[in-house]
Amino acid sequence: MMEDESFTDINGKSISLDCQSHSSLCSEFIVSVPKVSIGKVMVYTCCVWLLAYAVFFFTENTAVLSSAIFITLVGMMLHIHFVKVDHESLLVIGSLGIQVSSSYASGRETTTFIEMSKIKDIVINEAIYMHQIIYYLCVLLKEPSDPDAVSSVVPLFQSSKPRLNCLVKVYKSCQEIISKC
Amino acid sequence: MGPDSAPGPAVPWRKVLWECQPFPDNYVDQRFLEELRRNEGIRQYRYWAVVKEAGFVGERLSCVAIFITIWLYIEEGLLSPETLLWTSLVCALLGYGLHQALTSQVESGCEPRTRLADLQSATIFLSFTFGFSPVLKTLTESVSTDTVYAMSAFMLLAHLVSFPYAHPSPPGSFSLNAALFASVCLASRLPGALHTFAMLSCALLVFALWPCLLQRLRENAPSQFTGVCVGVCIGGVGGLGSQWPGGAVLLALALWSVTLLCPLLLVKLQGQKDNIQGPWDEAEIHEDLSHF
Amino acid sequence: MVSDFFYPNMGGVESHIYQLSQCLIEKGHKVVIVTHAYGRRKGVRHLTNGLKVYYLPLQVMYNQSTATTCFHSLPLMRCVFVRERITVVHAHSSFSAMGHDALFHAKTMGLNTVFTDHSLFGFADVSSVLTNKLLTVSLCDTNHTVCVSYTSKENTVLRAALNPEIVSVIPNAVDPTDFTPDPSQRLDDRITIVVISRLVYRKGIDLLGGLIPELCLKHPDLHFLIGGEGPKRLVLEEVREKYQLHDRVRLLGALEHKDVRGVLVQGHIFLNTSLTEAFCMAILEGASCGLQVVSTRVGGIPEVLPEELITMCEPNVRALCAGLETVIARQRSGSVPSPASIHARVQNLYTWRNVAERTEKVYDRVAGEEVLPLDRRLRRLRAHCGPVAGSIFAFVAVLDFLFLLLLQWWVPDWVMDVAVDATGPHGLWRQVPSSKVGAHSKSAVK
Repeated sequence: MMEDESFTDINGKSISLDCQSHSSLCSEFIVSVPKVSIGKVMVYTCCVWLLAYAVFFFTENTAVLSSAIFITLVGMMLHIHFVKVDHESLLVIGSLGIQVSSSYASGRETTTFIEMSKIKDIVINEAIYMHQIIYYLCVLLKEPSDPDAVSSVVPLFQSSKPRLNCLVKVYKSCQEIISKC
Repeated sequence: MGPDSAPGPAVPWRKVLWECQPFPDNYVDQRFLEELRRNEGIRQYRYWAVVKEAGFVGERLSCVAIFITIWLYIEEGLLSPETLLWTSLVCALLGYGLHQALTSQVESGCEPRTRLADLQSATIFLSFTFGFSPVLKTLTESVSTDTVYAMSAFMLLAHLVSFPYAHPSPPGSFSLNAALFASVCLASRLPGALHTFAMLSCALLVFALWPCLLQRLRENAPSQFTGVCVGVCIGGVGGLGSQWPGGAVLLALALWSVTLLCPLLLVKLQGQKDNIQGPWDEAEIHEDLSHF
Repeated sequence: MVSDFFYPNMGGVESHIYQLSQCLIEKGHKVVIVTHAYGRRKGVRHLTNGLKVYYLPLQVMYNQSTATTCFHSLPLMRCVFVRERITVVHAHSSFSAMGHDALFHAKTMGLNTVFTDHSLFGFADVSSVLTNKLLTVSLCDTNHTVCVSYTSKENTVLRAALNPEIVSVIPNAVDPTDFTPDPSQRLDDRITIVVISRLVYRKGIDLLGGLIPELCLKHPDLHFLIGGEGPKRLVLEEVREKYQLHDRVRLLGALEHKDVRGVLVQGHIFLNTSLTEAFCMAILEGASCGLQVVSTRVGGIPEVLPEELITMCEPNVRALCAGLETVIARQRSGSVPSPASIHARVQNLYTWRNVAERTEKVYDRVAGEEVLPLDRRLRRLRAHCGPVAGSIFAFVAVLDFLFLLLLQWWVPDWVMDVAVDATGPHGLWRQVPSSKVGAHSKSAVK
């Protein structure tokens, strides 16, 4: 177990990094994003309902109100099921591979595993994201035919988008493990 | 040699880049901008000469006014198509004679057209116009009168704008076509097929043949040309005045501004001109390179 | 350095920016280049010696110049300026809308600016009146302007109504090691005239088309070697067809920069027929390869080479023919200096290191200047650019400032990661080549 420092994501919201070192060749990094705040849910719900009420005021059609309730509920469910990520984890096992998983607020989890033989390196890269230029951690995959070429890039921590200091910490530990095998 | 380094020593500055000169990079010499030239090759206009040239524009404007006046007369029934046809014929013959007389004065290098050829084209034109005038008469029946008027006004304007005032013989194809289109539109609103025919032959006279004659006149007898222009302008204003006094006032105003005011402005504003030239200008190729 | 024009686009401005940046890095400065995305090349890339290039995804409008709305580029530019801790913004080329945008935003953000003008403009037609007005606005509060020749300086001072004291003249340069003579490549039984330029009207290709048949008729051993591509290629092909000169006039098409020297060394005479030119790099390259240079006397060309190295003619066919005749006669009689001696004379005239030193002095001077606060900036805009344009752009400047405040509230400066320096005083590039930032040159845009 390592201590938690205070980290933020690229928008300035605080996130937490949990580094678990299971052995010298195996560590897990979990980036957790704060839970959905009740206040935010209330604000969005109020917005939708106020809008619906305004439409209702002019159309005098009650279907508007019921559909607003429906939209809010479905939207919230979709949001927590597909968009809102609770935590993302990166499990690096030397000589075996890397497991990347992200669990959504609803409890759904998606996991991908990349074999060590396919991995060329893990690097921190820069990219233009929306109107910002950000750093991100990514796994470089080898070209099967030519081991020196990079065939594709798998970005890590896509939803939480931690800032550079957090990435550097993960990067250093990853490099330690990769260099050992 | 950064900006503002050492104070300038006694060596004279030279406008060259290959030497390392003991001057800062942002040094400004006495000779800065000495190659700047202002208003090179500017033309000084004399007021009356410009007025004379502008008279031709006024003449065109009046021609259009005269054409509209004739149309108004025919539409009101004040002028019978037969009279118009006979007058046109007489005018055409007189004009043709004058044209021939003026042409014979100067020996043009190319082979002159024979009278027979002229007669041939005149016959073709007239017979086709005559044959098609019933068709032209009904051409715009399904179109509302407002649209036809708007279209002809627009086309007459286009004729005035695109007319090649510098070399009006032969009149530019776009301006001629615009004028003929306008006259077809107007003629199709007249009561009978003969009316249409008379109107169209009149249009040919005013828009196609008259500028050719006028150009000859301008080349060979400049003093008469001015007189003719003035005459046409007066005729236009007078003719329009007999049918539509408001229009005549407008025309007179337009003529005044085109022939007197605009040249005055041109001559006055010429003094304001500030054109700068220098070594940075793109060189112009003066030779004719097409023969290479 | 900000400009629309950078590699993979090829041209004088592009190589100027690249060479200048490399020399500045050598002198220990941190240099970042910002340009627009070229096809799939977008994102962040690193070139030789850790030169960092941002290819921003902005829409290209015309001739590789980006469309400008004055505002849409602010978020990304601000991001670059903040995270790279930029102190001086240097924009290149008056054709680059991105460069003007950058100057404008840099002033809004309180940075000092430098602008380099690479081209000459006339004053006569409507389009140049408009572009000159825009340049006036853009350079109104730019701290310093750099021009490539004295003629260019006069032109820029007039166009942008500048104080000549803040305009420096720093010429372009060529890398003399790239352009070395090699007389063994020449064929002795003939005289070869080399022309290397884009085949466009401004380069005087019509004049070239006029003089080729005239000279070829007089001198049966004369050959032309023409490198470059453009709409005026038709003129040359027509001339070649008409006078049956296929074996004597060779059109090589577009040349890569690395192939230019191979073409130059085959010739005896280098011909430039430009109608306008701020600073002609081509004649310098020709002279550096040891060729006799014949050129039109336009723009800044008379300033570039000393008289013994260049024969200058008025821009018309007769004068160019006469000039070429004298040089051909000299070449025949063998009274021309040897290519090696010409190269030795030219190689130290213009070096990028010298350019970088002089540019550095401009930066030093600019870095100490104060940036006008918003109110004084607005007053200056209105006083300097006329009542109409001044007021419009003062309004735009206010909007830009408000937009910046909005962005600063939305994504505060402290949230942005400061970029890892690859170059400059704390540059990591040379010590550990691939320590933190991925050393590979590929980067994805999400």
